[in-house]
Amino acid sequence: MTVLLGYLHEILQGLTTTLSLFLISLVIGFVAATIVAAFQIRFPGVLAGAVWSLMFCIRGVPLLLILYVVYYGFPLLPFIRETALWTVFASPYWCAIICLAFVEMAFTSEIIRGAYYQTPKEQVEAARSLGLSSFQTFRVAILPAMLRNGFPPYTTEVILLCKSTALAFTITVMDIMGYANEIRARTLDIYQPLLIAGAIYICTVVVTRLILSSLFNMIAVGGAETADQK
Amino acid sequence: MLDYLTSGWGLQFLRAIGTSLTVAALSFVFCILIGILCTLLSRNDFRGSASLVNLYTYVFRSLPDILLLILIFYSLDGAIQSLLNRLPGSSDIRLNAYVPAIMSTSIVLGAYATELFKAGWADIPKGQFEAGQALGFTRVQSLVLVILPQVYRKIIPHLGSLSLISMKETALLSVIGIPDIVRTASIGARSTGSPFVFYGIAIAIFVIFAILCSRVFAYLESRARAGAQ
Amino acid sequence: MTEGSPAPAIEISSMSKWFGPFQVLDDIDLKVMPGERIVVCGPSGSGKSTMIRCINGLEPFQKGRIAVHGQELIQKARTLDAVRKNVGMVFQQFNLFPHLTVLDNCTLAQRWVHKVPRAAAEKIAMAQLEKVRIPEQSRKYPSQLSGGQQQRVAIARSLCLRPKVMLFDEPTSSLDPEMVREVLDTMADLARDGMTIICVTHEMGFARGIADRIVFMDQGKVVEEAPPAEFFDKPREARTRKFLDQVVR
Repeated sequence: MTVLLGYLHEILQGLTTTLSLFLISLVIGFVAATIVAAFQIRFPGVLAGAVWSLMFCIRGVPLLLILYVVYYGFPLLPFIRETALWTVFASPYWCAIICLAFVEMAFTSEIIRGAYYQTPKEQVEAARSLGLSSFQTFRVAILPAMLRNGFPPYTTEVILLCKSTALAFTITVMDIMGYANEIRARTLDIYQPLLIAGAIYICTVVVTRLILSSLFNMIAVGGAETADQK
Repeated sequence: MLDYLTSGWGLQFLRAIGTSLTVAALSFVFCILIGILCTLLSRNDFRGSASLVNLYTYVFRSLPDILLLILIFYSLDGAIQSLLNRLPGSSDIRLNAYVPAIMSTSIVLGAYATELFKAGWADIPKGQFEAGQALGFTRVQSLVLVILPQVYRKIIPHLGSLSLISMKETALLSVIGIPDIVRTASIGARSTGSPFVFYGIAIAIFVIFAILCSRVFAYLESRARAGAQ
Repeated sequence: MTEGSPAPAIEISSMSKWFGPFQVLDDIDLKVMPGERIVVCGPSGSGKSTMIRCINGLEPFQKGRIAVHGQELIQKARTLDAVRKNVGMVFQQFNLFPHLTVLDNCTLAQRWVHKVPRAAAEKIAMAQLEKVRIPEQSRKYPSQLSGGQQQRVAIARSLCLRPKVMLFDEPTSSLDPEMVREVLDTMADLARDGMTIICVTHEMGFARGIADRIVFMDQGKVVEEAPPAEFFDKPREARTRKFLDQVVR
């Protein structure tokens, strides 16, 4: 029992790393995804098509491979090695965040795009016919529908991101998985450290789900209200 | 790049593609089977089975795949080793590393497949089951001839992304030392000192697979749509 | 029209059924001779659909017995299959298989349940589609047909298995008004051919024209049972009169 508590204590040292990897890449990924999706929606054409294709390709490549490219490949590029970028790419932690955010952007932008195109045309037409400007139309008719349609797949995506942070240990980041794997290699205890780590991940996901669902309830109700007021 | 491909690395990559595709295909098949089986269990009258299935999908959609892989990889090997030690006269047999790889991928993807099949199944009107009964089909016949084809038509696009995910999951094999596409690229990158060629090839392989995958499933979907609705 | 056979096609004796604490069928007795055409009517919630769904084992019942052509219905797979081979069923919602063509809908059960070879099954299916007057639609999918056409396919699909009894569960209730006629005509053809029919319907014109006997149900009980002339012109029970006032106006 004391051994287990010792493991737990050691593994929990990685909790801040895991959580910060998760949250920072979540925020960066979401902002980038919004920009990418807005660009595709606002300026449809060849360029938007190219952006979409790029996002499609990113979604097809495993995160692990992207981590390796950035962590092992980028330092060999002179313009990274010899500029201020080096301080970022020399750190496995920031490499992991960049990769996670990059992949998150590709998936989230598609969710946003999908949510936008799912918005019923009639609602948009109704709003325009009431004389609302295009921004007001977006605010009143499109955004609430997007939130309703986009939130469930986005929840799934956020959980996937949370799980993906565990891959960071393959480029020497000491997160929960990193500590658990280190204990495994050092002590040859297999089940104890890994199951403890697994339990921590499951708890994280449970909490994330709770936060997201209460957020969804808040936004969904609020969105409906603003739509009614106008 | 051509130099590398002709100097033996081309063959290495071909082997790696074979490895990854095999593991991906097997995991895909197994996760579909798990999905169907768990859906049947969760629709069973026996109440415990439904909550058991829910627990399964919840846990394995929350657990990092890499954690499960490492857990199974090291523990299965140890378990089989200790089992073999008890049997007299058996020599030292190491477990094929592919088994834990396929197991963990199938278990994780099975959780997603289960959610998928459950949702598709729930959309099928009760009358379809009754019509099957009234025409005298057995349960298995009803399942195979009436229900599954309809579930399949509803979830084709999701099956596409599931197959793409199972291919991407094979990247994790490199962590337990199986020479898959990612590991081959890493070794090549390290030993030749030109990482971008090797990682580039690996990325290209995955992108090509993603494109093929989306084409195939778009075709399957259009074919299915030609009929029903 | 009856062939003089003394054995009843369907015999229901003191059958009762509960959904949880609610008794939906209360001591039902009904005997149907081969070739007889029975129309079951009654207000919604009277248990009429539930009763005919019991006859081919779609619903279990708790008390009493049902026998179809001498075969007693027990909730066991083997006997259910034996009973279902003799009993065809047509549903309110058609329940055609949307992923199969009309022809495949008609051949699927023949080929897998009755092990009829494909060519022979298709021949039988085409003959039945001919009978319901839509052979030209055989290569289409159900979603490409109108409601009336779908229901006629559903009838053909059942007939392909050569049932001795046909059950109809409100076959015209989910049809647009202009399509009711074609389905009723098909059923009338069937009646003329001597099929044993039990039909739950609100189509009183059909009941008067085709039925040998009308069974009126209310609150899970058979309230009245009479030939159409008697049933419509001098109903015995007050509840029947009230119902008729509402439907016939």
